Amino acid sequence: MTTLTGIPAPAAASRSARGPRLRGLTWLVRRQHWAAFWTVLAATVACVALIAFLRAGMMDHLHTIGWPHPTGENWERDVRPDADRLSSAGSALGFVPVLLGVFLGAPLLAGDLEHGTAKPITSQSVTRVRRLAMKPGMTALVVTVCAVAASAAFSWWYEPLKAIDMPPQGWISGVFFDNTGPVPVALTLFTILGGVAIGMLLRRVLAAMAVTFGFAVAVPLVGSYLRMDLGSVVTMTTHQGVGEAASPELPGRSLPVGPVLPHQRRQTHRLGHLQQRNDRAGPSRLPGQGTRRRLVGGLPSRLADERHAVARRRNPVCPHPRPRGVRPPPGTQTTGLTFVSNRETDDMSRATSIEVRAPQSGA
Amino acid sequence: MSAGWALRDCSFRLPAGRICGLVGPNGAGKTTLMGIAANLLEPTAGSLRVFGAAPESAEANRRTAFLAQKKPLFRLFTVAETLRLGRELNPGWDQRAAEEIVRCGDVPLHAKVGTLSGGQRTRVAFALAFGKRPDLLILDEPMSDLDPLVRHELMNTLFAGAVEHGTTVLLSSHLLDELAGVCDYLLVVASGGLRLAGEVDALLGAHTWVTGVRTGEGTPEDLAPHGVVESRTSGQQISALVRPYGAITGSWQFGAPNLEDLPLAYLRSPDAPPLITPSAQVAGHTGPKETAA
Repeated sequence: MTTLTGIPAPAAASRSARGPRLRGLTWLVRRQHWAAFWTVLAATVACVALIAFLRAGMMDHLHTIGWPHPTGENWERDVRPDADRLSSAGSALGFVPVLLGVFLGAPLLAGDLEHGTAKPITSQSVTRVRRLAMKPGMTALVVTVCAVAASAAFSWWYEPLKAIDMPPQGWISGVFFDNTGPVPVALTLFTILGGVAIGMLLRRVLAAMAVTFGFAVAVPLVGSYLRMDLGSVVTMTTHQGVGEAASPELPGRSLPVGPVLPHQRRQTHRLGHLQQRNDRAGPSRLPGQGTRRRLVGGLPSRLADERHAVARRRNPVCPHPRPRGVRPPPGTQTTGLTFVSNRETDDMSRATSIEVRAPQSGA
Repeated sequence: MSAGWALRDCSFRLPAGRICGLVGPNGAGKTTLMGIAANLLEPTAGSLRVFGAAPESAEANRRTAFLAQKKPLFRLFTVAETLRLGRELNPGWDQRAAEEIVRCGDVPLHAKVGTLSGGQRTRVAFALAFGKRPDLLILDEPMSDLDPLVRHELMNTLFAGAVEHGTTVLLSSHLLDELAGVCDYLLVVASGGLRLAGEVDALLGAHTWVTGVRTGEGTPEDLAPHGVVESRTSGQQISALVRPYGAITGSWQFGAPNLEDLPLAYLRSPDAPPLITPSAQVAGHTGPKETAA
């Protein structure tokens, strides 16, 4: 039998004895999620260390080919393994927001709601707003620090290759767009807080994780559709006879999106190879035809070749401007040339929505 | 409301400093009422005030502690960490009282909560609620998984603390005999409505068991002017729980009801008019549901 006659211990004394450690809700959140937080922080440190190691190796290699002004016939081929390694690392990093959203964001509040442990916390002397804001807030803080570090490290790794325009697609590619600058930070925070919100609504950990997975996969997909709208996409369509001479000049500071012709120096792109083979084989046996037809949108399938280019002024990725304007190469039979450009670009605005029709003798 | 009313036509006040038992069948709305008072739920209609403040206010939150039916705790926390949780999140935390409750059950402070037995976990949850030193302590089925010895000990702790600090305690239970020794106030809810509310002594004093010989069908004439809550016949004998409105005439034997009979009789007879003593009545009777603790 017990009678409780104890006087409450003086709060100030017990506080000072504990020293400057985390207090209140901060302590609770750290105690509850320290494993997850430390995992994320440790993984970030490991990732940055790995990037530093790989970048050091890459720089050694780049200096042997005369970086930043590479010389030699085949320097692009020499650089390709470095660029490929960067690309695959970027692809792997693309899964990180999904992982964090599913395993950190979704269970954050759903766990407490499902197991009833939200109740004892509700019963303590903390306000509802602080209670609800502290967990996602601290998680967001940890994740922001990690995402900024990872983004900076990846950008740092990419920088030397970007200076020599490798890999050729540059920022258009999701691998680089989603992993450099503020985009990875924003993307990660969005998937995590999305996961937290989904968890709050569903109140079940497993269901919240499943829905968050779909959400986190959908967000960058939607982003990849919108990414091209940051520049102006110019589609050039030529008919047959796509040889070396048939390649139109690209507008200045533009980046090719689709097939690339051999003389344009960037023959490394996979689609480019495919395109060349198909040109030799003829349009009817084109494996990628369906896709390409969709890309041109409504143009007949007899069109054997398209080129997609993104033209954008002051593009940092492609610092050397090429002659502007698009002209059909002489001697080719051109049925249509559609071209949409940035209206703000004065010398290109005159060329907006041009359609040139040549006699259809070859069709 | 598609799921039906959990609680309706329920207006009462609970005077401060009382130990109040909340009794009712399963699904009567006991947990709903407690959840509203503990700011876990919001009433669909009506209002509930804790010490004159809304349950969601910081004032009410600080002064109320709630022990949920399932005693949810963080399973990966140790007992010491669970108590630290209370210390970190409550300005008026009483570490000594909380630790004493835990120590009395020989619960190791460094054991993970998930490894404890049900009774030990209840003890830790109880310590977490009690260490807050609340002015209103809400306990939902607190004793259901405790052995009689521990139940007795914790009840004494509760009683002593309540007397010493003037804590109002609202506890729900199925075990009527368990309430008998502890409660001095009683609330009986059934089918969503309030059946009995008031001081235990006043409620018991307002009723009497009447036993006598049955003379005909239905309610005996002698008892008709009084409120008959429940009557039972066995052979020629009739016994009834009566709320007398004056002296009962005739040859009857009288007996005092106990705290076990009274709620049961009211729960079995949904037609009997509810009895709410003056101290439990809400002044003005405005909202459909109101508590002033």
